[in-house]
Amino acid sequence: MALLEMHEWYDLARDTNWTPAYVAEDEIFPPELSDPYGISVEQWETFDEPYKVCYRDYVETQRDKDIGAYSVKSALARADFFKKASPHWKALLALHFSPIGFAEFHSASAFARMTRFSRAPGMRNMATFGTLDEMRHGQIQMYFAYEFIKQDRVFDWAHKSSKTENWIIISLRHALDDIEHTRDAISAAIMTNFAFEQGFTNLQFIGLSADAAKAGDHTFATMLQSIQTDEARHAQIGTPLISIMIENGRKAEAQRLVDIGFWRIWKQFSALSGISMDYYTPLEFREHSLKEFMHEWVVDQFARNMKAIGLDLPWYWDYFLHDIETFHHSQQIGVYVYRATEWWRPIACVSPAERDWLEEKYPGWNDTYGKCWDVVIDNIRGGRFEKTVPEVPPLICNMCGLEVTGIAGVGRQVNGRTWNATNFHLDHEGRRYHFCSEPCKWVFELEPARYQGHRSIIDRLLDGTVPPGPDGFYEYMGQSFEERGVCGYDYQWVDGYDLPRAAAAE
Amino acid sequence: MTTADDAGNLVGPVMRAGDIADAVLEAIQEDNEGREVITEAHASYIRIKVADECFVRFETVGDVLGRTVTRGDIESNMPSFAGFIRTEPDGIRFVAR
Repeated sequence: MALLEMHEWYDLARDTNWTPAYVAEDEIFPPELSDPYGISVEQWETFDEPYKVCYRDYVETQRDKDIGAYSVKSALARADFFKKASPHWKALLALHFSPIGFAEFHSASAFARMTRFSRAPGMRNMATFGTLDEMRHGQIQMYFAYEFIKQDRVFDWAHKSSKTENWIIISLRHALDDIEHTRDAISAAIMTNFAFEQGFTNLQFIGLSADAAKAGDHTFATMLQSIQTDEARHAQIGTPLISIMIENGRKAEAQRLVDIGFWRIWKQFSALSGISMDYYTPLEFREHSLKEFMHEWVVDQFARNMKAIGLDLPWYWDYFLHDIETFHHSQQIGVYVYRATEWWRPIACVSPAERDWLEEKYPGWNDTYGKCWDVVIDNIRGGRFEKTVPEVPPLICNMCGLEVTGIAGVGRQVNGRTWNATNFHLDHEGRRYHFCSEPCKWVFELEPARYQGHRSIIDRLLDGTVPPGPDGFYEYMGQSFEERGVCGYDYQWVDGYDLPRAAAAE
Repeated sequence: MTTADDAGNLVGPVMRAGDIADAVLEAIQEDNEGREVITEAHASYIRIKVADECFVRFETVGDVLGRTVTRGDIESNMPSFAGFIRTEPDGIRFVAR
């Protein structure tokens, strides 16, 4: 018997709304979980998914994707690759696998809520596949990361990290809980599928795969792109949702969701992709700088989509364009000097040749961030290693959870150079909150009750949540002595400064 | 530096570098005859861009490769795309809006 083609039965099969007879509609779809915007179910039923897939085709395609990724892994037997990899690449792999694997696995529950509570049948269908996608992403990344455990216990953090109170994980969890896990199905989908997935995942999963391919890490490159082929499909949930919101007089709400989600995820990717692309990728394998990838994938590709569907660019767009060139450089300094608070072996990546590259890609780098590194370099060369680690903890942003560092190139002059180390603080109900930027402060001000209960790692130090004693801070963050980061190059990266500049660059 | 205002309306798939990507490029040139097809090669991926609208037919890709090609074959090798996507029974269409 001939099978019908998918397009011949798809619309009928996925039209699964019905009129309940035994319970009220609101009991099945509570507004606070389904739709707080009051849009009629007839309008939600106009959701026309741009990327139509049926289960039969989905399973076949996903099987082929897994065969492709896992067979590359098997063929290249990576134990030797890892042993021979530079501390640069080891740090990059640790930085990618540690926070991302379980975060993706958790995303499955966000998609499952969309599946359960959306009133749009087409969206429920897409979100079902999204749920399965995110399970796959969690599993494949933990499986690939665990390959290295025999060589390096750092990769245990691919599984462990999400259960800890490490400051980096608190930062990531706060952002993802905010946009994915603690909102109604419509809001979460707009923030996750549109602002996050359409906006930023290309950066890490395609941009970084180009670096990986150049570095010869074809297993990592293949895995990244394999994951992103799923993202490209299920990220399309967001677009028809925004169109329905706009058509029903809810543009302002949709815009606000995108503006919040976009900023919150930018901060995470700034640190993750920014440090990976501009520092941890070995110089000879860098395809582009973070700034160049950001312009390709976000400023061009994603911003066009925002405008095409009737949204405006976020109000902080000019600020964002400047942040692309600055924020991650400050974070890299912080990640290196506070290295004991991280579980991998951070590296500086500011050899003379790397500085030349940074200056070329980010003119003015040497006169700003470079001056900070000069102090670190002088201390290492003078054997004053203890002075490369600050004695006091940093100020942490009460929104993004990353360091309040200010913006090079903007603001007041200090010693003839410009550095604006502004703390965007806010006094609210008897306490002072600190923010790294105007948009982080803006997100808080939109809904203080939502955010004010969260305590940053520094808040926890000050209120006694973190146990006292020299090891209390680390043990609270889940780090035994062996799990505290040390310089990945054992400080030998400064040796290049003992050579004439031209020789060091070779 | 590229901005959102001057990026134009170029749309199309971003393909993982390899045989399928090469075949999709050839098919797009055939399926969008008379229109300029722009390519941009990177280390692990290739951007294929056509102004305003870009269509790729599964059968055309299959003719290039000498075997049957399905939507899943394209999806497995397409980590991203520029513009908006419309899956159709016989192919995939990318549109500026």
